[in-house]
Amino acid sequence: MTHPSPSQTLRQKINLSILLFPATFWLILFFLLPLLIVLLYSFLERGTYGGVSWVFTLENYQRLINPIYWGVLTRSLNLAFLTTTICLLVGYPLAFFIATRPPRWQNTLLLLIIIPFWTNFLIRIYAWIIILRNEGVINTLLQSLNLINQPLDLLFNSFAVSIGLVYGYLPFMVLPLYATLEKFDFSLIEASHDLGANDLKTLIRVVLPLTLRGIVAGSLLVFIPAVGEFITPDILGGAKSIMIGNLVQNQFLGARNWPFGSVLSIVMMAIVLVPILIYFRNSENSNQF
Amino acid sequence: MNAVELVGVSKVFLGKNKREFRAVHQVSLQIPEGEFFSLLGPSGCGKTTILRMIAGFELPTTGEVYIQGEQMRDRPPFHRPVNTVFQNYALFPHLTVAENVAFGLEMENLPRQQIRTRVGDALALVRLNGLEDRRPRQLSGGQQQRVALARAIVKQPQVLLFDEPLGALDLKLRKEMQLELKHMQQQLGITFIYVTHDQEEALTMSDQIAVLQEGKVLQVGTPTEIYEQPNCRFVADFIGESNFLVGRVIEQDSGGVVVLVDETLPISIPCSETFPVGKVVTLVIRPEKATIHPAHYLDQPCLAGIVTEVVYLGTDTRFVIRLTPQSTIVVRRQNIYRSNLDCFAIGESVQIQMASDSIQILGEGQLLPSQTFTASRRENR
Ligand SMILES: Nc1ncnc2c1ncn2[C@@H]1O[C@H](COP(=O)(O)OP(=O)(O)OP(=O)(O)O)[C@@H](O)[C@H]1O
Ligand SMILES: [Mg+2]
Repeated sequence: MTHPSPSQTLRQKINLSILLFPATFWLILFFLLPLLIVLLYSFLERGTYGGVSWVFTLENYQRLINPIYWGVLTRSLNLAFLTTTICLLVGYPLAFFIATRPPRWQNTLLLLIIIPFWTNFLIRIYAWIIILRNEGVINTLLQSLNLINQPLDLLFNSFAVSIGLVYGYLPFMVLPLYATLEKFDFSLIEASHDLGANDLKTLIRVVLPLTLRGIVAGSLLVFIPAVGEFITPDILGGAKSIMIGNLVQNQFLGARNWPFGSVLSIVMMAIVLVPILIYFRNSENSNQF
Repeated sequence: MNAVELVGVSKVFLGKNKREFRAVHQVSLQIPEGEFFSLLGPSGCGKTTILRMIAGFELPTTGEVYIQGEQMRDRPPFHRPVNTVFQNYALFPHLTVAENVAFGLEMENLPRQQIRTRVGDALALVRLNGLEDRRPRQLSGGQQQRVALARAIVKQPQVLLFDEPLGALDLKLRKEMQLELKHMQQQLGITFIYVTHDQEEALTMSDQIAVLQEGKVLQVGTPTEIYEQPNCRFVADFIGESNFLVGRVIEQDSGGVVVLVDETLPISIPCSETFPVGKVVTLVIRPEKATIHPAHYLDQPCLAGIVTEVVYLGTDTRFVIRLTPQSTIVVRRQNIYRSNLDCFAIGESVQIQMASDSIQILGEGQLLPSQTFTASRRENR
């Protein structure tokens, strides 16, 4: 049995493909096929009552020249970028704090981060309306302290959307960061101090480089879904803070322009693909140490 | 001036349920400049904790640490003139060997050119040239150890701290590195404070050794003092092998004392200390300091007994001899002549001769039943 014969390796290959079949099937049916349909639709004319009529056209792509769409797209990217940055600034210290607690505390703290997930996303976002609206918690409090006369406009703008996005995606940042920090060898911090580096230099030269993987993973996990968000801006945002996700949703459901909706989806996907590629190149490099 | 001085240093850790744990208790040490000073003791005796308090990773609960005469309480680790070689090396995995060594110099904002020369010199000193661009994980354990050493030495600190730096190396490499470290210390003139639980390592390398047990310093002295004149039973037992004979002083004059072991065996020892008649004392006898003879060989009074165990060890042979029903003694004899390798058999009656000035008397001990217990434990080794 020490020399595997060719037939054996062939059998192994067959076994492997049988084992992989469910996963392959799942990917083809639910990922590749819809993607191809969307790509196909983007080159077809719209049907009168939704759907498509089977005529090839490039018109849908030409519509993208309209600066309105670029405005929405830029806003989406800006908001997603802002969300990612805030999540990182809040999430890193939080993950660091959790990872440096005694083990029995770590699980409890992680649970506290995950618990909000057990509530429906819509309900959690609606809760922010109660907090942010004119008669809401914040405005009532500030007014009763006589700090302001007029209620602040906290709701139905980009500010409210950013809050909702940060709130919704923070766990996606904290969990991968925690996973890297938990494996981090904290004696390296002592070594760095020993060699004369203060806390800031230790952070920049030792801790951040060694937890870069978690930073990149967390940022992608926040950035990618945040770009395509449509529920949060729908509920918390006003007319001036719609994101590209709302536009896509609107083309499919409201305007019944499936081909143009497909074009917008593909543009969005292309933009999101860039950071993914960066991530994969990054993870290949960091395998070296 | 002392390179490092500890004054009444204690460290109390708060454990689970706020239970206090005394890891280090009232330790005072003076470590002169340029000395190779070892902290020796069994696992958990507080060696690492003492080292961490000197480096600044822990603050003493009470007491003070002085380095070069300066009080260190308010100085964080990165402002102390000491560097540490860690037990697990703690090399930066994302940096190359050269970058690891340069790290400490970059923190001092030295000019690039100077950093490069000093890194080169340090790597040459630990014989690692040619490996500059490797990452720590591409190095063997011994090489990693050298990088850790170079990284600390390149800072040219007043004091270098070592926490069992050779613990992870195999025996041969460890012996090599011991010599190299000792050599390097003499060459550089830096004060080394060296933590180890290996008594042989401490004896071969140190100028002075502090023996610790359960957070307390038991004895400080040169290797010779520690080995030849242990001041308590623990030190005698921990460093090398010792026979302990517990007895009562029955005679005392200016020249020495006579100790009665097991109510039957009088041993007279010259000593300058005075012990009152009736005091229970322990005699410490190193196995290699006793000689074994056939029965009736000597006509002066001496110890006599029956051989119960013979173990051939190559360089020497180890005999266990029963003196009284309660006491045994271990004697080692160097195997100089092939002809008399097996001249003592089990069950044979023998005499034991000791240079009486090589017996150390300790003013501590308990008669029976612990005595029988120790005797049998020795035998089982
Ligand atoms: N941070 C801490 N919290 C609580 N107890 C501690 C802490 N650090 C050390 N101890 C305890 O203090 C005692 C001394 O520890 P230390 O690490 O100094 O021992 P050591 O002499 O270096 O032992 P070893 O030879 O095994 O390294 C041990 O019993 C240990 O459990
Ligand atoms: Mg230790």
